[in-house]
Amino acid sequence: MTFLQPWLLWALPIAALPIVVHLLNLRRHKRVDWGAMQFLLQATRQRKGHTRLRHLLILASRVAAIAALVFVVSRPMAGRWFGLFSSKPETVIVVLDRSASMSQQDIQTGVSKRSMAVEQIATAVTRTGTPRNLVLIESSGQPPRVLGSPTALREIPETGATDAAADLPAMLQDALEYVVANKAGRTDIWVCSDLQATDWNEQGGRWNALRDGFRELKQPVRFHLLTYAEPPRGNVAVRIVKLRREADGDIDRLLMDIELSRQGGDITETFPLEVVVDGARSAVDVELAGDSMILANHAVPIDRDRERGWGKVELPNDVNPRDNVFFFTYGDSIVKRSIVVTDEPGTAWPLLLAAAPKTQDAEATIVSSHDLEMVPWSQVSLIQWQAPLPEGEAARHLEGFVASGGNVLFFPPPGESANALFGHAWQSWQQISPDDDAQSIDRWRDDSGILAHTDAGDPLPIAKVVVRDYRSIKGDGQVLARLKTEDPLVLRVPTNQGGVHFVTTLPQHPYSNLAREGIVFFALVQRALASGSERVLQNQFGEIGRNTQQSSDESATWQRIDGWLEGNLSTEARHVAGVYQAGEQLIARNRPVAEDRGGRLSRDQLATLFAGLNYRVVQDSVEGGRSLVTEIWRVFAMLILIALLVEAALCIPDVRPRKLVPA
Amino acid sequence: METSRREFLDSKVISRLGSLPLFARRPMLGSVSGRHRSPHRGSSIEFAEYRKYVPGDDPRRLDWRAYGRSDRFYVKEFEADTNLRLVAVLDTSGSMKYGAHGETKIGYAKKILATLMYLAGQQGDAVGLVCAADKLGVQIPARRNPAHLRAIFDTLSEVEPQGETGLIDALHAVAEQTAQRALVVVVSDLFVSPEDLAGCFQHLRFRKHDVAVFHLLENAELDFDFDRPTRFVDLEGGSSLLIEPTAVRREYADVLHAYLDGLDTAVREAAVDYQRVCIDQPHGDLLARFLLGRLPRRRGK
Repeated sequence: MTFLQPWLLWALPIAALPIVVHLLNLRRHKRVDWGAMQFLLQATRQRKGHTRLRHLLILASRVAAIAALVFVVSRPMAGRWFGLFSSKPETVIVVLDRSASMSQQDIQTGVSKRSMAVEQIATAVTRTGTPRNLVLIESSGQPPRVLGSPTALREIPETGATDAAADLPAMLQDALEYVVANKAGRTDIWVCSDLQATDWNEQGGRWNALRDGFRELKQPVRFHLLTYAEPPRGNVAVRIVKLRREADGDIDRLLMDIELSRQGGDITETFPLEVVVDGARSAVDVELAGDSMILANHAVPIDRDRERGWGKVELPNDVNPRDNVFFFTYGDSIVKRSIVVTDEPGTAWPLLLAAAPKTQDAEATIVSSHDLEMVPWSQVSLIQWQAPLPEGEAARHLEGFVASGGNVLFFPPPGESANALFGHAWQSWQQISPDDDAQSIDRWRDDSGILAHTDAGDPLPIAKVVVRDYRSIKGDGQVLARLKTEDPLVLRVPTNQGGVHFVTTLPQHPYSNLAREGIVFFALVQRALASGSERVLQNQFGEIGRNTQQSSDESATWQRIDGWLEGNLSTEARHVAGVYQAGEQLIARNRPVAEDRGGRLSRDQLATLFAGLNYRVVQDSVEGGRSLVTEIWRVFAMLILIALLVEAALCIPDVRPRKLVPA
Repeated sequence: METSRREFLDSKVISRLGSLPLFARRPMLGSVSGRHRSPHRGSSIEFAEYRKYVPGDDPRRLDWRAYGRSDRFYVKEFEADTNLRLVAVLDTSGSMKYGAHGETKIGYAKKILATLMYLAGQQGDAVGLVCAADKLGVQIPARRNPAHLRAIFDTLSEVEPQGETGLIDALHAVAEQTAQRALVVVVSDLFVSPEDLAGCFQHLRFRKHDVAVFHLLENAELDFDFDRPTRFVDLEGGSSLLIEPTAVRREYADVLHAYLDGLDTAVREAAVDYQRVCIDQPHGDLLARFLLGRLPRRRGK
């Protein structure tokens, strides 16, 4: 409970006034010389306990009435549960889930879960007084933002809707880091979410560390989980699962597999599905009987002369309008581009050959480590780096490339260099004697990674690989293949996006027989290339947040063609579904597939995630609209009334004894 | 006689009550002729009974008319009239100092007793005085001369209430020490146990005394009409008590009722002439009622 006029609480000692008056009254009693003392003594003996209790109750009632009056004028506030705002925190961190599923809205009012959560928090924080620090952590991955006032929550674009998924563990990790770094003091963390299971990633390995981190904090931290877990009844989502361009006689056609999925309800319904391609609109009725259906190979004719274009599929509005539209782009066949960065172009032929064999739509280009400005980062899928590890601008480019979903294969450079990148640094060259059995590979991961078995289950001939010269490496990456010298041959660096691998030898003679044997090296490069190409393919109808090719700087230059993006908030473009133009490139962005899946965390699962932490679950709904915090002076006014009534009842004098008429 | 010392004697009241005789309800054994019945036959004009003549009777007392009617000898007997002894018992315990509106119980008691004794003295009765405090104090035996009465009035004017009550002991002493039948008039607030008081009354009755009790009370003691917190100080020297009067009024009334009920039982069983008196009523009216109530009932003709 908090107060709008807390300074008036200094008047609380006035509540002791009845006690003071009582004591004074006792002191100024009158004195009577009395003869019938025996009757008085008997009467007081009979009355003693009862009288004392009555006096105490009368005093307590008067004290309570005055205290309640002081509370009334102090304008107390409380949440739906007393104790929700039991004391004003120094820091309030709002962890806001802006994922697409939070756009579920009340069909009557158009108020979404996200906007309701923002309004509730803004109102509650305004009423309870702005804390010293008000921090917003939202799901688009931006760093924590300090807000000047609660009203900013309603105004800034960072609380608007997105079509991305939310990574609640990462957001809470940000909150933890903020609390630790800023010595936030007493902190309330408001987590606003619809409890979508994929956003919370309950099975992820980060929760234990998060719990431990919050438990070890010295300052008290309370979690208020403002949940909107009501399922979207009857919500239908549309999505394109496959799209290809096909020549058919004189015209070309777009063949698309369109998926309709529904949460709640299994009656057979017909939905008018609209397909828009380059502005041309066509409609088709789709009958949905169960939870989902796929309209396969729906053909839409397009102009053969048109190299690229865009379109979308649309459903009528329902409780979540964000999943009623799905955007796509199309173009010519996609070429997988790779770059070989080396300062010795003469030795790089195995890398070029493995990345761009003649039989594939692939291009590989050699670039010097000093000419990196020539690299078209957004169009490249794989970079094979056989040069000293970069630093400065080049290192940031590489990190951005990986963060946007690109893949990098590092090969040992010839010279000495102490630079480190992705937490790894090359060490000295090692040579293994040709007669030594240690030239072969001791063990490797064949269940996952770029050395895994083929899709048919056949193993790669890794046992045939012979390494003579290799370069040891310093770092804690995951070893995918290890030499008998216990040094790694292939090592993977864990990253959130993209892929980083270090190969500690070169493919050509005399370093190893990787080029001569070919299969292992070819598979290794091609798998890295395929993985990196996903982000390029994403442009067709990519999911927001997954292998995003463009960095935030690049997306800031996008021009909106169609979609949910409002105005010119290009900084939000990466998180909002739509079709964008980046130079000559068309990019389609859509919500992640997980946002269409309906699983919600249960209360028990929440309890498990927040076990040992001070948390409170506040269930709200878009239809509810009840404020989280309200003035409760009426409660205290009622208390005054009750206290005065009790006092009056206790003060009613006893019925006067009948007068004793002298005989 | 100084006026200030005889303030308990009101000449108007005395003159108003002068025509009302003080009668005893029981036969008295006086030493001289008086207004009161005697258990013996005497020579008054009040016919008592016929008795058969026995040898030795005075022949002059033979009723010849009865002989003429019945041919038998009868002697006509008459009541004997005698005087009485009035023993006044005055409670002089500290509680008799109480009085809420100027008049105190002791002052009122003195008025009653002085007036009664004066009236008794006027009709030739002997009067005595016993003052009952924590110990038996003044004891003046009953005599019937005016000088004695004056001495009693002097004593009355000097006596002051103090200490605890010794009424029970005083009444038992009166019952034992008064040799002949007497009219015992008790004036007290009776703040003693009704059971103990009943024993005293029975004792007096057993000794064939006629007992009259004036129970003096103050309105404040009956109503207990105090509002503010009050410290009650015991007039008989006990402790004091600071209480909220409104909180104990009901219990006080219950205790008082129980006490008065017990007292009523005690006086009824001992045939005591009991007068419950609020000291704000005029003592002349009270005594008039008292005297009228004691007038002997005329036998039907």
